[in-house]
Amino acid sequence: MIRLCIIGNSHAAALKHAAEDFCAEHPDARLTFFAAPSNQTARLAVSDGQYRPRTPELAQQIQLTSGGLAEIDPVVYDAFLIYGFGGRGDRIDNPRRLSASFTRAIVLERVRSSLLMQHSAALRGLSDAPIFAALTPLPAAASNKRRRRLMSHHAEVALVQAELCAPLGVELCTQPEATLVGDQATRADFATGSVPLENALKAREDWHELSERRHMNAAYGRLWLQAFWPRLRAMLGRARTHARTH
Amino acid sequence: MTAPAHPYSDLPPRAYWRSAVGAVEPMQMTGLWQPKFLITPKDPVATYGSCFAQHIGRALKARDYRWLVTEKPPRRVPGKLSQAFGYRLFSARTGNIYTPTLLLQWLRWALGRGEPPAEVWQEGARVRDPFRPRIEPEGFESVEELERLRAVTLRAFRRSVLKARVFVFTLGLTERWINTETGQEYPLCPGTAAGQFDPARHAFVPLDYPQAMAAMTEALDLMRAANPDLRFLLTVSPVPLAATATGAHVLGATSGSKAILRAVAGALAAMRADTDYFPSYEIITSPVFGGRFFAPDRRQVTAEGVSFVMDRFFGDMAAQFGGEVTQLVPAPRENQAQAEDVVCEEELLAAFGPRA
Repeated sequence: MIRLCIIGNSHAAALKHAAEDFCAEHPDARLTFFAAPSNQTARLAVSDGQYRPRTPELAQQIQLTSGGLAEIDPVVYDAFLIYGFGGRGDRIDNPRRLSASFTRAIVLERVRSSLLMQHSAALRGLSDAPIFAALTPLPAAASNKRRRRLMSHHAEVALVQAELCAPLGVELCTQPEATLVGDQATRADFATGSVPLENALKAREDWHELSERRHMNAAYGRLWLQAFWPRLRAMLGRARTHARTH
Repeated sequence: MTAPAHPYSDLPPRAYWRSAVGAVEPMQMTGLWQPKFLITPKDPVATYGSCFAQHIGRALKARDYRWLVTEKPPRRVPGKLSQAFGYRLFSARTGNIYTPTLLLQWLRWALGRGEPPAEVWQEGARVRDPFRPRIEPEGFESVEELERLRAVTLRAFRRSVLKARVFVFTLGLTERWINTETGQEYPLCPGTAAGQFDPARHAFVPLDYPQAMAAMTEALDLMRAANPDLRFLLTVSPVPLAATATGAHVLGATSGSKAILRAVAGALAAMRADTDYFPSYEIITSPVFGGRFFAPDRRQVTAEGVSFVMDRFFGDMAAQFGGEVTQLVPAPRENQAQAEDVVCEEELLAAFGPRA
C-alpha cells in the first residue's frame, strides 16, 4: 500500500475526479486530498508536528476534501504531492524581446512566491518522506497562437527543479507528454468538461464553462496519475531498499 | 503725491522675497512654478534622465496621468524585479541618461542618425552593454542578445519620442567619459560599474556651458523634427555628484555642474516656446528649506522631498490652468521605500571612495 497525501488547489479537481477509477486499477494506491480553492491553503501552518488549518473556513475545506480529517499528520503518509501551484505566467507576443536572465528570474520569482514553496518547506521540516510537486497545468491551446509562453514547459520544470525544488529535496514532475502541444500548451480536449473542485469532491457532474482553458478534466487527471505512479513506486522502492540495507 | 511707477512697483507677491519667502512658512510655499503649458491626464508623457527623473514617472502614474512606457515587462511581474532589470524606471529601458550629450547620442541612434558602435564589455561568460552597463544585473548571455535587446530599446525609445506629447528630461551631470576612438559617450566611467578602464582610450571630457547648450538644443530639435507637436519639460536633478574626476572638491564640482545644467535649462525655457523648466532643483536645494529634504548622507532626497516637489508640480499646474488638473484624485504620498527604490548607477562611484 502506498499512502499519498495530495495538497492542492482547484487544479487538484482533475486528480480527484480520476482518483476512483485510478485506485480501482491500482489497488496499492491510497490517495488522500487536502485541497482548497485558489491560495486558501496558505493558511496551513506547522504546529506540534502536524500541518494544520489556522482558520475555521480552511478547516472546513480540509475536512471536506480529506474525507473528515482535521489536519495533515505527516507520519501517516509514504509520500506527498503538492499539486497545482506556481501559476504559469503570461503569454507574450515575442519572448525574444526579453533577456534569458530576466525570463528565468520571472519564472523563478513566480514559483518562489507561490504556495508550492510554502508547502514544500513545511512538509520537508516535518518529514523525510519523498515530496513531489507539479506546477499549474499549462492552459489549453488557445486560438491566438501568435502569443507564446515565456519559457517552454520542459525548460521551466528543469529550471525550477534545479533552483528551487532540489535544495528542498522536492521532485518536480512534468506534464504527461500526451497532454502537451508543442511544449507550450495543454491539448484543448483535456480542458473540455473540467470539473470544479467542490463538485469533483462530491463526485457530481457540474461542468466548467466550455471556454474554461486553465482547469483540466478527469481524463487529464487519470493520465497524470498513470504517469506519476511508476515514478513514485520506484522512488519508494529505492528508499525502502536503502532503509533495509542501512 | 504718489511715487512714480516703475517695473518693481506692481509685481505679484511671488516676485518679492519678503512676501513670497520671508513671510511664508516654507512648507506652505506655492507658486514656485508658472507652467507654460497644461499637461492633462490624457497627455502621454515620456520621462528620461538622471536618477531623480524616476520619481516623475512614478508620480505621474500615481496621479492617474498617462506615463508613456513603451518598453514594458510582461504583466504581473513584480515591480522590484522589473526595476532590477531596468523596466518602468523610464519610458524605455535606457538606464539613466545623465548628460545632454548622452541624450543626444541615444536620440541619434534611435532616430537613424547614427549607429551604436560594436564595442561590448566581456565579463567572463557574460557581456555588458557599455551604454547601459547595469541594465542586466548579471550582464547579457551573448553579444547577439545584447545587440538584439539594445535594438528593442532603441525602437521603444523612438516610439516614446513619436507618441509623447510631453518629453520630460532631468539633467543630472556634466562630467562624462568618452571613447576617444569612437567618440561615443559612456553613462559611467569604464571600470566602475563594468568594463575596464584604459587610459589610452577613455578620456574625461566634462561639458562646459556652450557644449551642454549645443547638445541640448540639437536634442530638442531632433525630437521636434520627428514629432512636431512635442513639448519639453526640463528639470535639473538636485542630487549632488557622487564623485568628481575634476580634481576639485566634490562640493564645488557639484555646484559647477548644476550651475551649467540649470543655466542651460533656464535658457532653453526662455528661448523656446515648446520648452519649460520645472524648479525641482531649487525646491530641494534652497537654503529656505534648511536641507530638510536630504537624507542623513546629505545627498539622497527623502520621500518627503520627492512628495513635496511633486505636490508643487501638480499644485502649481492646477493653480495656473485650473479645471481639469484640480479635479484629480489625490494620490498617496510616496513612501520611504519607494524613494529608496530609485536606481542610480552613478551611486557606484561613491563605492570607490574612502569609507567614512
